Amino acid sequence: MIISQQAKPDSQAAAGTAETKVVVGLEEIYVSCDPNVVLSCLGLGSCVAVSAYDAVARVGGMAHVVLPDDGGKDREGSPGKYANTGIPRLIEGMKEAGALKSRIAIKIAGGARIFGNVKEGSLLDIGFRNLAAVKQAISDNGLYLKNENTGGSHGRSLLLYVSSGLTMVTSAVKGKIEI
Amino acid sequence: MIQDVAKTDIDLGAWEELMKKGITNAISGLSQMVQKKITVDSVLISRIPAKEVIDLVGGPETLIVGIYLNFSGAANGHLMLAHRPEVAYALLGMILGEEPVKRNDISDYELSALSEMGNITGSFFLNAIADTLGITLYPSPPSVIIDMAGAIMGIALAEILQESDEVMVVDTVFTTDDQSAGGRFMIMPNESFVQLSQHYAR
Repeated sequence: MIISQQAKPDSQAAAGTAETKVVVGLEEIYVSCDPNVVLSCLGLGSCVAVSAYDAVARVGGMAHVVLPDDGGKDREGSPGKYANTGIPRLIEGMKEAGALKSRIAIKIAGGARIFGNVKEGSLLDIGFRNLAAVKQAISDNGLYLKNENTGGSHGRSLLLYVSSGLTMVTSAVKGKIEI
Repeated sequence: MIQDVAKTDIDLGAWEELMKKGITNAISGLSQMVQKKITVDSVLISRIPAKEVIDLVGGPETLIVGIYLNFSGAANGHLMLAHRPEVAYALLGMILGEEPVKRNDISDYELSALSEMGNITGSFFLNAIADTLGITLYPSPPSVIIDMAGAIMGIALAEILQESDEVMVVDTVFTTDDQSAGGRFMIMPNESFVQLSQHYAR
């Protein structure tokens, strides 16, 4: 879990602008109130990116969820790995950075079924299970799911601009869209 | 050539020996299929965070052609041939005897040729392992996918992360002798497979 107030010096700055792209890797959670930061989860397949944004406090956060449920163990290790532990931790981080829970809008992307030979909705369909668990955690935590770009069978990336709350999904097959 | 940067107390010598046997056989199968001599440039055997596994193929958004299969039986794990699209077309050219053309789509016929490449490489690898250990391993049918590397590898990584925080990866980079094509063959075993090698190998 990383909470950043300022741009991280080691992140990659786009040429000519002050924009700082922060890549939220597998199992990671990142919260920022730096308007130059663009949070991103890249190359999502079955993983689900959960973005959270408070438009008043201008605080943005993102979690890269890999699995649905920790089954009651491993809570200390990496909370961002699981939907049921990652989402409460993300919200905690948002609050620490000045966000109000009631103002937080959630957007999610990912949860695809990349391999055609996996039966839809089966135990092996991790994307489907991740999505179900993420939505369950959103509702359990009393959060507002504003939009989603999920399912299907292609990879995606999710970007959140902390300055404006602009949320974009890009994919190799469907180009770039705002959600 | 083994670049061993393992960080665990497991006897990686035994594991390394076993993997080398499998890789040698897999590359020999692939070489027979494309009718070219293939050189192994490097083999990396390492236990690394999941994020770094995706970095091996160029990062999560890199477009790759992934030929993926998993295996079950006495041990479980994931196998993948990962190529940049232009390399996949070059390999197809060798198999199908056609000149490679740079483009972004792929026909059913070509998909099935790439699947077969996964079948051959995967079963040659698994046969060598199974014979050495005296166990039975069952490969799944291969899936061929053109997409972001992160999306393709996510499934294998998710399954491994269910039982461990790091991923054992065996990453082989190869090129044909005439340098016309190269690619990588990745093995991502479940933890139980690594443990199994401790009892049998050597």
